[in-house]
Amino acid sequence: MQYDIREVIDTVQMLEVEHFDIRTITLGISLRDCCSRLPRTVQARVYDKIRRTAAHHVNVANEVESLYGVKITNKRISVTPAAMVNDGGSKDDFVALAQILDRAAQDVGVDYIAGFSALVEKGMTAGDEALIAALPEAMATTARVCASVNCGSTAAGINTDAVLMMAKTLKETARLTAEEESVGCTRIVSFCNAVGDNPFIAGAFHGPAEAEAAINVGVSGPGVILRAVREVGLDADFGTLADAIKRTAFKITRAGELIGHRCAERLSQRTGSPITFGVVDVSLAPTPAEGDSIAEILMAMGLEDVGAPGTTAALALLNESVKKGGLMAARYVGGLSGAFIPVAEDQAMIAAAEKGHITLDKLEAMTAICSVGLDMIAIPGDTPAETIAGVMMDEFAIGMINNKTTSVRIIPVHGKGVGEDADYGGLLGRAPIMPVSSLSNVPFTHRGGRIPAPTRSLTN
Amino acid sequence: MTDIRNLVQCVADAMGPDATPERIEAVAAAVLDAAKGEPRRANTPFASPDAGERAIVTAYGQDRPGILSAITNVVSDAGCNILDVSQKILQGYFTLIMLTDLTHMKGSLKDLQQNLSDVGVPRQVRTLVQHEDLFNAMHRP
Repeated sequence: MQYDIREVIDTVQMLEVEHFDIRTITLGISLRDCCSRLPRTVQARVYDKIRRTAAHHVNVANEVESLYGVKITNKRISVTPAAMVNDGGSKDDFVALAQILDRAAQDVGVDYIAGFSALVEKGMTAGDEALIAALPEAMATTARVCASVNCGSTAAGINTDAVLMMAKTLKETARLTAEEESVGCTRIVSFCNAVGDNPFIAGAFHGPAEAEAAINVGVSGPGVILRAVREVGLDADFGTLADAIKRTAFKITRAGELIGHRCAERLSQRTGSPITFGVVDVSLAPTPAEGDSIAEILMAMGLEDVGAPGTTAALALLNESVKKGGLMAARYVGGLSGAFIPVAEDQAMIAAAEKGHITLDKLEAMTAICSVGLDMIAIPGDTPAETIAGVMMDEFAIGMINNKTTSVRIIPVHGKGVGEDADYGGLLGRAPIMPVSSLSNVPFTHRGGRIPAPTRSLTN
Repeated sequence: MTDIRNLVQCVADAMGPDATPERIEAVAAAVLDAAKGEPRRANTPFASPDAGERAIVTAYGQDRPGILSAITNVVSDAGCNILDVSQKILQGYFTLIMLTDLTHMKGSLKDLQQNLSDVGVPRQVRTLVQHEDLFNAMHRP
């Protein structure tokens, strides 16, 4: 037998029992050639381009899914930061553009289209400001559009004007979508050191330096890693534990590499224009499904619950091992390639948050070394914008100084407080409302201007 | 036919005043040949040396008499050559793995998957058909 029956069983077990899947295949599309001084022209060009380029995206993914028996959970689209595509536009033009993106996504059959974005770490153009101003209404009047704003970077520092704007934007978006637990905020991400090839929503966008079109793949298998950790047992030393995780990560990343390449190949053939394969993002991302939890992995490593002393170290080991295994398995590894700790999307994390075992402070600590940010965190609806801005500034300072991506996807749930939760159902899960410090930071957050870039940005 | 006419028109337009019937024909023929060729696999990882279309059929479930022959029949009826079979029975559960050659398969992969499912489901057996590339990728660095 050319194939060892044990290897086949291993793969089948991953797929059938441990929820191994390709988390997302994201088609990045450049909208740079859709620019025009006339907003209506931009909208028409954007719609056409997306329809044309993504026409076969979902079908191809379904075919490849069937060929290999590996579920591709999400098929998504990302685009050039919209602020660049309609830079002369007004706030209303951007709202209209968001609606066009929404319709295009619907017409090609994807559930999310990301890239309603602006890159403002160094300063803002009129278009950037208009897009940010349009965010609340854009989120309230669309279902599929995801937005992101890059407010800082290691090279540029932190644009605190942008941060305060984003904090106010979140409050307004929360108010406008109050009927649905302020769900609009779940589609807005504020970043430091955002990357242009991230395949995961809500923070994906097709960077301005990217090719005409590219497929990026997000692989994920918390369930598979959990099995590996449990098999190693509690008596194994850290080297053995790290090795087991690494080997498993290697295998799942190989599947992602294969499937991503096949999708790009077939899509190029069908579309008649070259669609390159970009990167495999080796991030570990949970879902609300049973057995698909990152927190559970940390517990299986020997902690009573997430939040116990040792949690940050455990996550560091987990994340590093996944990266090492993943790096060997793919030609190009990119995107975020970190650990996702979205509180609402991880069963064991929700439970820990409800018991008060995991707090905003611990989550912040985890973002310092490996997690991608404060993700899917619900806070009281009456949290002042300045407080939110302060949380963001802390998070971005971590990213800026450590030369890593950090992000904030936080939901000030309108009309709710600690002790309640926001239930989004489906992939977005359920977010228990977490307490935030009530100490004032108003003079600090109102100073304005840019926090200068750190010394480590001077590497020449 | 319309496509070829369009192609010829495009070539003629592109050539402009230099167009002659012979030149147009030569260029159009070259384009058609290129279009007919195999998709370029040079930059794709995982091209196995003995490239053929092979898949692994997996079936698992409670051990029942006749399941092996039922699956074998479906695979053979689909025109697939069975290259190797391996079976493991453990505590009343069985796992069957079959390496098959899909090169001369009648019907589509989806048909094969459906037909296998049709014999599997009533016997509470789960069936999968997966292209071998997946296993090469994951277990053969």
